[in-house]
Amino acid sequence: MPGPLKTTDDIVAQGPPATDLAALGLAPETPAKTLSAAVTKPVPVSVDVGNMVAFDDNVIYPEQYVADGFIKQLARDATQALVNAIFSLPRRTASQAAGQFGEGAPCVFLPAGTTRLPRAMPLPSQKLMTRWEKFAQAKGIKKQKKDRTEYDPVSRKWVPRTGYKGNVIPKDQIASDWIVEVPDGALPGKDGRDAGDALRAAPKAAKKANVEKNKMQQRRNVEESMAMRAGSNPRLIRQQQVAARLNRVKSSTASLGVFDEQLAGEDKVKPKGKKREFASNSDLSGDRDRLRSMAHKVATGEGMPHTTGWKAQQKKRELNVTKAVKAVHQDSDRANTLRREIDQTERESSLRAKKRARR
Amino acid sequence: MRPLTDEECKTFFEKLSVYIGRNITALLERDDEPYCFRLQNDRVYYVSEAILKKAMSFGRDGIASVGTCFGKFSRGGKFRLHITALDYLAQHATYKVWVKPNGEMPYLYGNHVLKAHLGRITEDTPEHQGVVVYSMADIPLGFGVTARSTQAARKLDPSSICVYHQTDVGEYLRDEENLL
Repeated sequence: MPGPLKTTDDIVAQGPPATDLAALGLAPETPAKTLSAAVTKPVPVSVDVGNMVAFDDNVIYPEQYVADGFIKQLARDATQALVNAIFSLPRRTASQAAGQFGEGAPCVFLPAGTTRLPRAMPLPSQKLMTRWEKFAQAKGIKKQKKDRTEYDPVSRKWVPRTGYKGNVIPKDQIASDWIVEVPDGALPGKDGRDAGDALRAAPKAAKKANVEKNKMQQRRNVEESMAMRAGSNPRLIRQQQVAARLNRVKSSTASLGVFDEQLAGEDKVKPKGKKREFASNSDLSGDRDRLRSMAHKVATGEGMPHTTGWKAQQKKRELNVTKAVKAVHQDSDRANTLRREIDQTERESSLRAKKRARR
Repeated sequence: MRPLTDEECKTFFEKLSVYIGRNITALLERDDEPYCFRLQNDRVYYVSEAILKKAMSFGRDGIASVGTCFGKFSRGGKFRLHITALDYLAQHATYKVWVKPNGEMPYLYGNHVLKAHLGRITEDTPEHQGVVVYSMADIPLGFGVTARSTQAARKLDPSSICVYHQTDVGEYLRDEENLL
């Protein structure tokens, strides 16, 4: 907005301002003197200051609408109502916010908008619960937030659990496993390590296994939630997957699973291949129709890719003009070079003959 | 014995159409008697429906041959025409080549048709076109593929090849065990 804002003290006292529009550059082109700042309408103009919007709900008659300058008038009135509303807000002097207007410039804080606007983005889809979340809900287990600090009995201070100045022992200072107790009768490991080494390595392996387990569970949760979202039962899908895999494994033997030993209590899984299906040998009239339609198709090239067959042959026979022109040009080029070479040799031989004659 | 699948049908008819063009429909729409194609041990047979009805009561192992063998499907799924189909190809061939009497024997021993032996050729035969080879007395001898178009063949020297040999009736003697 160009120019400094005027103070609203007197506006609040006297009601809507009378002359401020010109200062704001919002005044209509018609002489400002004739227009009143007070907007009076049968239905008052509703103003949403937060979004800086004004709505004029008054009835518009067609003859009015056609009249010259009517829309401009409507817009002016609505804008005037909005400006009035802004100027009626409690005025504050801002030191930092109104930097470009100078310190101490009056400003107002707009309230929250009242007009409900549509979302720009679609609603976020509901996140499905993981197995643990479901279990925790059933058992009434609530997540307990750990305190950010914890009491360190050594330094007798409250220190952050992690991070800067946290209660984290540097790696090189971990002294807990410099000595391990080897149980009686423990034998040295096969790879030449002593029993102590193996004991020391155990927590690391356990940690690795735990990470793997967690990853597997994460993957399972994702798969299950995907299945649920698709409207199918994850348990059923899992069963089908297992059955399909078992089927493939059983049919991956030399005899394709025909002579494999059946395990006790095992479900009979019959390896299934794709069954070929042929038309009936005795349905002569049906076969006749099929053959004829097929022959017709091949003969006319209908519904066939034209790579082979009659149609493709016909296509191949058509004169390819571009190719033909290129061939002719190449031929003429070749002929020209040949002619030039012949001319050259002839010229040279005649020169030689002349020289010989001179001698 | 079974009818051909759509895929087999397509491959087979496309191969046939190389030699007899649109006349493949004529093989199925005969005036005398309805005929059909049947597959038996990878071979395609052209059988009249009357004979087919009788042959249907035999199992696959019990049938050595039924009707006229047109050729066989290779293991790769391509179709190969046999000399046994010559009778029908000769009836419906769109492009024909006649061989001079002195060229008959070389051709029947499995050689290509040379320019010197070329008696007549259908006008406007394109290059690489399936053709049926006849003797000058109009006796079909076999079939092959043109090496040159009719116009290009006119300028050829006598010893160059005009038609590539594919099959000839000499195979009845030379290749007897493979024909059936």
